[in-house]
Amino acid sequence: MADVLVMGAGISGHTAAAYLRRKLSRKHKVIVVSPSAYFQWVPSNIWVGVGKMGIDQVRFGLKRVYDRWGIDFRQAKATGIFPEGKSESGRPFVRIEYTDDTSRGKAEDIHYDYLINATGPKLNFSATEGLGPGKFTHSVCSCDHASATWEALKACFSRMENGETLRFLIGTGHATATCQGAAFEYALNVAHQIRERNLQDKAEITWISNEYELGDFGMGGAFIKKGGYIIPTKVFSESIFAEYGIKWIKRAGVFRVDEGIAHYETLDGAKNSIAFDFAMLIPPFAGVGLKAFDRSGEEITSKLFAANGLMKVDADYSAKEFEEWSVGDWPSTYQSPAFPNIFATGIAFAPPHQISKPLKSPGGTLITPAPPRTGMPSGVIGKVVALNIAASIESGKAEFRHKASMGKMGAACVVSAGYGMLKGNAATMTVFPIVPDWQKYPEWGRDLSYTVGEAGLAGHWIKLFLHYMFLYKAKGNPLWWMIPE
Amino acid sequence: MDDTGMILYCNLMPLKMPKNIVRAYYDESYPPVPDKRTLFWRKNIIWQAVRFVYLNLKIMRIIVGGHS
Repeated sequence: MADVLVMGAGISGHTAAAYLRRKLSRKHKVIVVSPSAYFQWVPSNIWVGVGKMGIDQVRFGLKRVYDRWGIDFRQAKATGIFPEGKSESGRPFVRIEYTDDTSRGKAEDIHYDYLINATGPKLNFSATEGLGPGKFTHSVCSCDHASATWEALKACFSRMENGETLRFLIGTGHATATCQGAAFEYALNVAHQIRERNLQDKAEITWISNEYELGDFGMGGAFIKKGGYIIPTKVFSESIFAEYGIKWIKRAGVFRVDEGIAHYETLDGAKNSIAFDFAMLIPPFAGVGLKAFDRSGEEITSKLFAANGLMKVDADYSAKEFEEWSVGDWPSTYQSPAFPNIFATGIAFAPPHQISKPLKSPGGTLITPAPPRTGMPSGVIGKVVALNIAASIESGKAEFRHKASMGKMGAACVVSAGYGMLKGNAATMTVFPIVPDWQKYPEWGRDLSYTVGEAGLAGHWIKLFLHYMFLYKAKGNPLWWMIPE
Repeated sequence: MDDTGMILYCNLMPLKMPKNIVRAYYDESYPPVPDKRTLFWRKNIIWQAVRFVYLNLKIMRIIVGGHS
């Protein structure tokens, strides 16, 4: 009998738990530890942030689903990993602290044979002074944040209806933040809502980003075939912003936010400020701050985790120049090199390096997006790790037949504005692979036959379709496993 | 700082364009923008239904190719 412990019940952790339960016989135990009682479909938080969906439309309670599946769910946060166990017992365990109302604060040690770290990121608002909810900017990174952001946006609409002209600042809140796609989508939705209310002459929307060019998205941009040309996503993204009347500031690392004003440094070394009435800025991500200890209780966190708190896996972390990077640097099995029964999936694994070229200002500030790890790769990685663990347990052999390198995996990004079957418009982009493979595709870094970029109602239907389809899948409804990640 | 409290920092187009300023000298004037015909096809239900199928097939191809 084997115990598989999954830390985190986001897209990656929940997917991993679902496939583990499906593949493993009932004599094996699947345990999920998550500080939240809910699964949330993060991509739809954008709609919560513009008041088109309520919180309960993008989330559901995990316990009911896990009870049905036969998964042992603990609403708790992990506080430490003991991969060698304690001195009296060599069996590894994770120390957890309950977060539910009845057992809040109670600690327990959960033993495991295999561990999946799918904790997702810590939203590192503290990396930029004044950034984040409760301070001077808003966020759509969680449904609670998005709901509060909608309240603030609603108040702005009222002010505009009363004749005020307001300034909206949307983008990245740190020089190394990622998730530009979510901020991009939110900017379009805010612009769409303003147009729907016929308030466009009362709004000035500015996009601020650490990207070298718009359309970089933390993956070094991409090229798409369009109108008889091969064009960069820079042109595609700028075109959409121009259509929605959104201005932009690029190559900018926000380093401080005061009330109504954001301060940023650009790659040329200039330090500037921009005033705003409403700001939604994405924070950088870090690991959740888990610590690891050896058998004697000595801390071995650095053995498992990189400096940013994300877990080291089967990637090549050796320092290399940008020109020497290759897809081979990227992990494929997500196994910890220090402990073979530990894996990290989704945003919890430490990427070997950025995908975009790292660029510094004359003052030495790195102004480059971190690599994106969106829902699609997170789900695929969670599934692949679960299949490998299940196969290892059932066969007794540590063979990892399934692999999911971001250098061999594509991604689809649907940036949708509006809501409803007839009122939406979306920019749909697909790329393959996520990490450019300049050896295999020397001209464009990616396979252009897979790459699409187009705007229209169809993309918006896809976004709606994905929302309902993935929530159906996540709830474990009949034939859920036939729906791909 | 301008009269709206905005700190001037780069080449952004003002909200209300004075009549004597040429639009072409602002960053956001350079990208292509859709014309009426493009906007019509983007909202045309029949054409978009075709694109919906096409985009789904493209995405499915990526999904199938991404698992090994």
